[in-house]
This record gives sequence, C-alpha cells and structure tokens, in this order.
Amino acid sequence: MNRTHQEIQEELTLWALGIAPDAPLPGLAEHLANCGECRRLVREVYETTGLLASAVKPVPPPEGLKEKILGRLGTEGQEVQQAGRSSTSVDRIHSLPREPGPRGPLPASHKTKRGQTEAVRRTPWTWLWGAAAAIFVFGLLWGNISLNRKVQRQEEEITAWVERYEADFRWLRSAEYLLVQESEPAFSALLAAPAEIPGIAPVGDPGSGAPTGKATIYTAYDDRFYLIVWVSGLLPGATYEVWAESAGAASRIASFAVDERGSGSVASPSEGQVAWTRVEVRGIDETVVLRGELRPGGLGPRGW
Amino acid sequence: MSSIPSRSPQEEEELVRRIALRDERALAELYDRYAPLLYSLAARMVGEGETAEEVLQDVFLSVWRSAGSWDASRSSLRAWLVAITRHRAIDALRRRERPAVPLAADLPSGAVGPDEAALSAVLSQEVRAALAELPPEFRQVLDTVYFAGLTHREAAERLGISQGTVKSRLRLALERLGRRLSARGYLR
Repeated sequence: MNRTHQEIQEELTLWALGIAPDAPLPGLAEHLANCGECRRLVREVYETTGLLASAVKPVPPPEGLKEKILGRLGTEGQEVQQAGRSSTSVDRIHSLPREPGPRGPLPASHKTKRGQTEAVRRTPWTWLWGAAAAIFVFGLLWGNISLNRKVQRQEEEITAWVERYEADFRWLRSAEYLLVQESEPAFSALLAAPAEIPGIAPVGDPGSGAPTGKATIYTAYDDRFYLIVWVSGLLPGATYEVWAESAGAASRIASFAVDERGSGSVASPSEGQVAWTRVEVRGIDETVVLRGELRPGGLGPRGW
Repeated sequence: MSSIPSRSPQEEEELVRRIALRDERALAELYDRYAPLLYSLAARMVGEGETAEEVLQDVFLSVWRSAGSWDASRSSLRAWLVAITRHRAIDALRRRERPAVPLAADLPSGAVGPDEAALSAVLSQEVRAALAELPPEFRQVLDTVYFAGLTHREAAERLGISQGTVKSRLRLALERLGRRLSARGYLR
C-alpha cells in the first residue's frame, strides 16, 4: 500500500462515518487489523459521531409511533424472511444460475422449445422459413436487450452491496480461517499453536512462494454476513473456486481469477446467519487446494 | 430532549440482552430512552414527518432483530444506535435525494435557560459548544457529511473544495471534537 498513514486515517474516518470510500477494502481492513492507533481512531470517531447527534434541535417523536413499532414486532419474523428473499442483491446474486451439469436434466423451457420445433416441422416450408427468420431476428434483439439489462442489474446489485458493506465495515466482528496448501506440512503445526500466528497476517511462509491465504467472516450490526478470501502464490491467470462448508454440506460460494502477481480475492455476502466451519480454495483442475478450518481460539472474534 | 445515558453501561447491556431475548418491554424501555435523540437526528437529516418515522421504525426493528450483535466492549449503545439511525437516514436520503437543512439553523441562538439544566441538555450544550469552537470550514464539512448525509465526493462538489480537503477537514474536525468531549468525560 503506497498511502501515507494520514491518508489511511482519513479513509478510516469516512468508514466510521458510514460514507463509502473508494479505497481498496482488503488493504484497509488489513491495516486496521494490525494498527492499534487506527483502531483507536475508528473507535473515537465512532463514539464522537454518537455524541454529535446531541447537537441537533430536539424534536419529539410523533405520538403513537412507539405503539406502531411495538405492534410490528409480532410480524417481524415473517417480514425478515420476505425481505431476505426479495430485497437485496445478495440473494439474487446467489440465485443466479450456475453452470449446468453435463448430465443434468434439460430445463422445462428447453423441452417446450423442442416440442414447438416438432410442431413446426409439419408446417409448409414457406411458413417454416418465415417463422425461423422472425424467431432468429427477435431472438437476436431480445437476447441483446435482456443481456444488457441483466449486466446492468448485476452491476447495480454489486455496487449496492459493496456500498452497504463499506458502510457497515465500521461495525463488525470477524472470525478467521487460515488457508494453506493442503500438502503444506506446517498446516497442522499452525493449527496446533494458534498463539504463534501474529494478528491476521497471512500465514505460511510468503517468502517461499507457496500458496497461502486467509479467509475472514465479517458480520455487520445486523444479519448480513460476508465471507472474504485473500490468496497469494497461485498460478497467474488461473481460475479458482471458493467452497465453504456449513452444517456439514459444502457449497460453491464464488469463483475468481488470479491476477498477474498470483494473488486473488473474493467477497461474498449472505443474508442471514451462516456458520461456515471450513473454507477451501480449489483450482479448477484441482492442482492446488487451499484449506482452512475455523479457529475457535486464537483467531476468533476480534475486539478493537 | 436529547438524552445521555444516565444508566450504567452494565444496565444498558442488560437492557439489550433482554431485547435479544425478545422482551418487548425492554424494547419499549429502549424506545423511551433513545427515541427522542434518534428521532431528532432522523428529522434533522430527512426532515420531520413520514420519512423520519420510517427511519425510526427501521432503527428499532433492526435493533429488535439484531440486538445480539451489539458488543458493549466495542462501542457505547448510543454510538451504535446513532450509527444505525444515520445509516437508515442516508438510505432514505439516497432514495429521495432530498437535501437536509444546514446545521446553522439548529444552533442555539441564546443563553441556556433554566429548564435546560437537565443532564441531556448539558451534553447537548457541550457538543454545540465544541462545534462552535471549530473553524467554520470544518463545521461546514461536518454539517455536509454528517447531517446532510453526503459522501465526501458530493460534499467536495457542493462546497467547491477537493475531496482530499474534505477528508482532512473531517478527520481534524472529529479529532478536535473528540479531544474536547473526551476531556470532559463524555467519551470513554
């Protein structure tokens, strides 16, 4: 990071104020985790902004508002569920279609199209060519429009959750995973001696060039959870997948491309509490697997 | 109207713990205690009326859902609640893009009256005095970012200064405020 300490503190001030910064998140998060002075700063700014609210002109809350709020508590569970399903970008990003399996059943829409094709064969050739041309042109136009819409929607969703995350960053807990190559002999030793791991610095031996990394779960002040993974020492340009295990079942969280320096990162949000107990970074060809277990002791939730 | 904690941190922890256990009376107690402050802040940011009410509802429902995520060892309850309120108010402002009222309109015009001798008024007075001591350009930046909910980019544009200047003024302003309030025992 080529920024001065003062610049970092200015950006952390923006975070503590809840307004989105434009700085790379991993760098600042790492700095914050390792710099006591900046942690104090964030805390002081946070507390000061809490007091600053007292400067505003007092306005009494409307009558009946308290009863209205208390009246909503009973239905709150249902509302949360509905909000979780429809609201945010998060679930919609997770619900985006994944790559179809090679032997998976055809989606219903494909079957329908196939059925339509059978019917078309029984029509005269003129109708057939006309219909085919119309479908082709319509398909091109519609495909283009819907692709643009989809890309735009995804961009908006990603921007929205990144902004949300950055705003929430001022208040978080974290739990961590060490990610080391599966064959790394030091892995079990590291797990056995958590006290030897300084802060949340990357584990393993960065000088050796062996793939290493870490994963962190951040939780903001409500039910949003974020799994963030940083790795280094991987094959530049290669694609990797992040898998996480929860309640005994592993699922693919995201994929990412390694940059030219052999590093990569991914941030994945989730609505609702998720207890990931194991995180893996898998190469597509399975040449490198980084694996980390939740550390209940030395790398548990961290205070500022 | 704006209150400061007259309870000990332990009592506040207990109150939030009860909310986490779904004790509606505890939430009602929290409301009585903090709604005046939080509603005033919301009204200041989004204007009095329906939107401020919605913000306050969101805040207390959010607390109801996630009381367990507040950690007393990391921040005061007040700071946590104010942060949630600001966050919800900023969301509302983003949806409406409605500018907020300048802080200058809220600043006291005269001396403190005898009815303001209560503890909350003392804090309010202290904070206002601390604000009044800031150079006008610092106060302007705080006003634009904290109360009007603008990002530093938007604030730079509105005030006609660079983003870097906004950032440095913000940091210095909060540092000075924090120092003064800390010296008077308002920051732990």
